Amino acid sequence: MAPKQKTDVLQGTLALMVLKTLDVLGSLHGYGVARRIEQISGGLLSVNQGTLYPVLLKLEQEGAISSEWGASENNRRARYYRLTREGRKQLQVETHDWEQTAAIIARFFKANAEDLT
Amino acid sequence: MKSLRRLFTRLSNSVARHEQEERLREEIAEHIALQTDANLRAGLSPAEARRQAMLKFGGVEAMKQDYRAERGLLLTPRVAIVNEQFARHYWPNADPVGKHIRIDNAAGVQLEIVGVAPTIKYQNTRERPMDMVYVPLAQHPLSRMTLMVRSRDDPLQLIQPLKDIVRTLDANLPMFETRPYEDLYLNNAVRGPQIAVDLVGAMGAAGLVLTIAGLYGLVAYNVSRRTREIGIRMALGARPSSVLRLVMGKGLVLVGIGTIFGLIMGFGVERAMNAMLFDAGYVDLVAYLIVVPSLLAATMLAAYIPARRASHISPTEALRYE
Repeated sequence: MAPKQKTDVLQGTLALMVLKTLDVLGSLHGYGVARRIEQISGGLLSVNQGTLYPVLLKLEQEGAISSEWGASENNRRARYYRLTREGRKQLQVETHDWEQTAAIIARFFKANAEDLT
Repeated sequence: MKSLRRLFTRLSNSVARHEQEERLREEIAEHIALQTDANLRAGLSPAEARRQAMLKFGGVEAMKQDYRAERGLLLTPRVAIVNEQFARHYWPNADPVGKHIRIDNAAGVQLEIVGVAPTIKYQNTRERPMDMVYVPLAQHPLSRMTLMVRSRDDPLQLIQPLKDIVRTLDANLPMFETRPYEDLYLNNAVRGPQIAVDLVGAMGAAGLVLTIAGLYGLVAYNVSRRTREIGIRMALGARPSSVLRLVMGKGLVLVGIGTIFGLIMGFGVERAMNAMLFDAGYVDLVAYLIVVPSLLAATMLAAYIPARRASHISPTEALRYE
């Protein structure tokens, strides 16, 4: 199991991935979201797909996504999640924040390397 | 932080718990079923397909704990209870219940006010009434918190069991400053003011002693200065009792004026003190019953002793005085 400090960061990242996934693919059940994230992130969820569910609940409680029962590919009952309008706004804000942070970190690393040479 | 949430979850009891648990159980089952189907399509044996699917899903119990903690975190809508001071401050003429506020800053989460609590003393007994907002811990997790535990038995007996519970939740979570509520109350509410009151009391007592000594000296000196006059009065036929009445009357007028001023100022100071102290809104009769008679007695004694001596010496001796 991942150390505790890691989980919060992971959760934040996961939440953003969930929002983006639902933004791109529309309505999706938990398994679908997990598979998509696994495919794109290359293994972030390869072992603990279950960690997705607390994140889904969190997002739903925050109003970023909504859920309803629907039929799965195999005609069983599955919970389908979709992005709400608020969630779309949140995704825009968080995407912007994330890009900014990433750019800063990138610059930071680059500057450091130059200073050292 | 997470373990605190967990602690809260364990302590609290949600109504919708059963329904939510059912939903999660079904979601997990379907998730694993879908993964198993995928594994089967990939050519695994049914048993192996299911085993792999469950492995991929990860620890269900740990996940359920996180899920429950997350659920405890948000009771929608976000709510708050404000105190009466807050209500009067922001809505002097309206009912605050149902109004919305944002805490921290303008971009903070919107909270709906669902109740009004009485304004109390929050930190010490001398503070002025202040605005206060109560929010549920479940919606506002804190990295540190104070746990208040009521007990019918000796509260100190609870410390170890409580520490054990916290340790089972998170062995790295320190628990400190465990103490009975009486201690806290004494420290924050009683001891500080008590020291101030004792100090003022001691100064008052010293003042009273000095006043008695000074008053006695002044009156006694004044009367003894009139020894000659008293001697003349006696020579002219005044009786000792009327001489006594004369000089003591003067002393009493002096004390009477002083007492009136003293009482006026005393009541003033007492009102100021009561405003400062918590729950001290009464007139301290005992203090007046000690101070006023003792000053009267001192004055009377101060006037009486020299006057008596003066009225008892022979007029010739009195006239030779000085």
